[in-house]
Amino acid sequence: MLDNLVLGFQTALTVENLMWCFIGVLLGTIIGLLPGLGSTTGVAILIPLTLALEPVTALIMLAGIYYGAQYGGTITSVLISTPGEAPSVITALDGYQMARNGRAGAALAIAAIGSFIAAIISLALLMAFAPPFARWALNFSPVENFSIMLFGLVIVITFGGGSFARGLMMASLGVLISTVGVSVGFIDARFTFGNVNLLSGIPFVEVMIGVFALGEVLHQIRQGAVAPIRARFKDLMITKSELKRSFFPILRGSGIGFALGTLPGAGSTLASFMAYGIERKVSKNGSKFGTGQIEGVASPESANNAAANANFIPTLALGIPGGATTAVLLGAFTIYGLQPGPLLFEKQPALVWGLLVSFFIGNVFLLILNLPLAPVFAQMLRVPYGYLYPLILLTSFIGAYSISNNTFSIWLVFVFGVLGYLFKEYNYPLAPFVLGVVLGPLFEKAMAQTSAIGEGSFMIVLERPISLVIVIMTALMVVVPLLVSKIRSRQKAI
Amino acid sequence: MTMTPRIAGTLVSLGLVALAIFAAIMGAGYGVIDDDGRVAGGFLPFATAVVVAVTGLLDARGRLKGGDEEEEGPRGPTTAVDIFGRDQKTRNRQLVKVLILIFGALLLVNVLGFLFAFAALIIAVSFFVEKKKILPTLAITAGTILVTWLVFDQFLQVPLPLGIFGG
Repeated sequence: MLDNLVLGFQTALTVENLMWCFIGVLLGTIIGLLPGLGSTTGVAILIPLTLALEPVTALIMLAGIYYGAQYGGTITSVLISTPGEAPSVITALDGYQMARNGRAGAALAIAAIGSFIAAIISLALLMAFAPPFARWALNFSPVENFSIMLFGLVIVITFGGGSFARGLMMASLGVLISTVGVSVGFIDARFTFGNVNLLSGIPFVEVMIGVFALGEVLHQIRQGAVAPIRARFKDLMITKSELKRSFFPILRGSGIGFALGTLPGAGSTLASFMAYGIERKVSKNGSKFGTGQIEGVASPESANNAAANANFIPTLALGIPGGATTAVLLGAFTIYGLQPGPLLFEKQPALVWGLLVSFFIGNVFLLILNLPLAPVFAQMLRVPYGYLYPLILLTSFIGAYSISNNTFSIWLVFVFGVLGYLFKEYNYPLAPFVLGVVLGPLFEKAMAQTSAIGEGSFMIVLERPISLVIVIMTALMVVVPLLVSKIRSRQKAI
Repeated sequence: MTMTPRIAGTLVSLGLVALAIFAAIMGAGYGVIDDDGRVAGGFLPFATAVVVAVTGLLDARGRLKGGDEEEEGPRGPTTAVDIFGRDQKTRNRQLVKVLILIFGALLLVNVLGFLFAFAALIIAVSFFVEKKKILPTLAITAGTILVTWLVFDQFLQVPLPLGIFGG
């Protein structure tokens, strides 16, 4: 492992990679705090700009955007109660109240410190667990891959927000969209209607840019603007008692975030909500949560960051994304000609370890940037949205165009933008949809192989021990939440 | 007559159901199971389309019954006046205008070229929809288009459509 770490530092500490890591986290912070943008959108829009870079440099920058946006999302959560990122939603509860009580700076500072500590803890765990996990996953056949993809989809359906039926609908819709075109293993072109642009399928970057960038812009136009609360440099000072109160919530948040982040499909949102829920139960000030308690910021923010890092375990080791942004990153891997999965650790050690080490460096950059500069970043919230969103529109459409150099792409962005707007407006969960689109081709391939191995029967998934365990876990993931909600509604009725 | 969020959400779900039924029929046409009993090219489209149709119907029914009030309506301060004094009706009108302008800009890409079409879009949105002052709007547009041209055309060598200016 020490050799791998040295290799990682050698890769990440080149001037070029350091520079792009810094640019990534800086852009990520800005993207996270601007309304209408988030890490998923940011990564999707900026993929085209990275095509001229080496794959490792490009991934270091894109990953920097990912965890930088987590920090930026917190700033909007605290100052305008409008989370830039879904995982920061829960931070708004106490963070915004702290801001209203004149403690905006302290809330931002503890979020930055908590996120940094969580990132370091989760990175150490990531480095310890990802390689053995990848080695173990080398034994997976298409049957296990099929089961684990099903597991990932079910997790994101269950915890992706909204009802189970709605989540299932969105995941299925995502997979359905991914079946357009010619698939590996089948001859017929599907749903192309004679259009040659559709033969190779609907490209995921266009879908992501449409759903997340254009869809969010349209949503924001309808929502209207909220006045930000001013954060001043002198307010950044945290008191000793606030630091003391935050210590264990940060540790608990990091643990919960890491554990949940390792699950394929679970993502940071679930981690931050669960960390907040648990903290409310165990904290001395739990009953006052929602009124501006620092524990209510420290714990979910730590969980959010730890999960963001842990998301890379299923993404790198299994090729199954942990959440929406890692799903887009997974797509970026394929654009650079890389295949995430167990073999990636063996075939591309410099890339994997360079990327992992860059998380550490990126988080150091973020702490240095965010502690003193949070009030400066907060000023960006004062940029009139009327000037901002036309620029987001231009960036989104030109980004989509430059992937394929085809005007068909910009029409796809438009169509999926309108769809994305409707999904956001009427509360259809987006994470299952994204995972469906990204996993669809892999899922179909694994399904076809499983069907061939089982000679037409899918019972083979129950005959292999690892697959059987995963299927049981998947079934539990469906049954347990249903049972819990039934019991709760019965208790309510009584 | 204004449509309630519940009805609008139900209509979106029913729209997805209609789309899914169409996809299921087409998917079945590609063949669901092959002669050896293995899945064929139409299996996944058919199966997922059926799931979308069934869950879409369940969702539409749930929305109509108003199962979870909190989930039904659009998020955020939909009836409040925002910091620019715009009420929901004004914002809805803005949304429609922006959508029409984007559509128009996309149609103009092959005529005016990518950068000119989007320059027109930025000016139209900032000046006519957002009512920003013309000079800052023109300055921001010119700066943005210049940076975009440098990055995409000069640095990344993306062959942007030039329309009538392409020669």
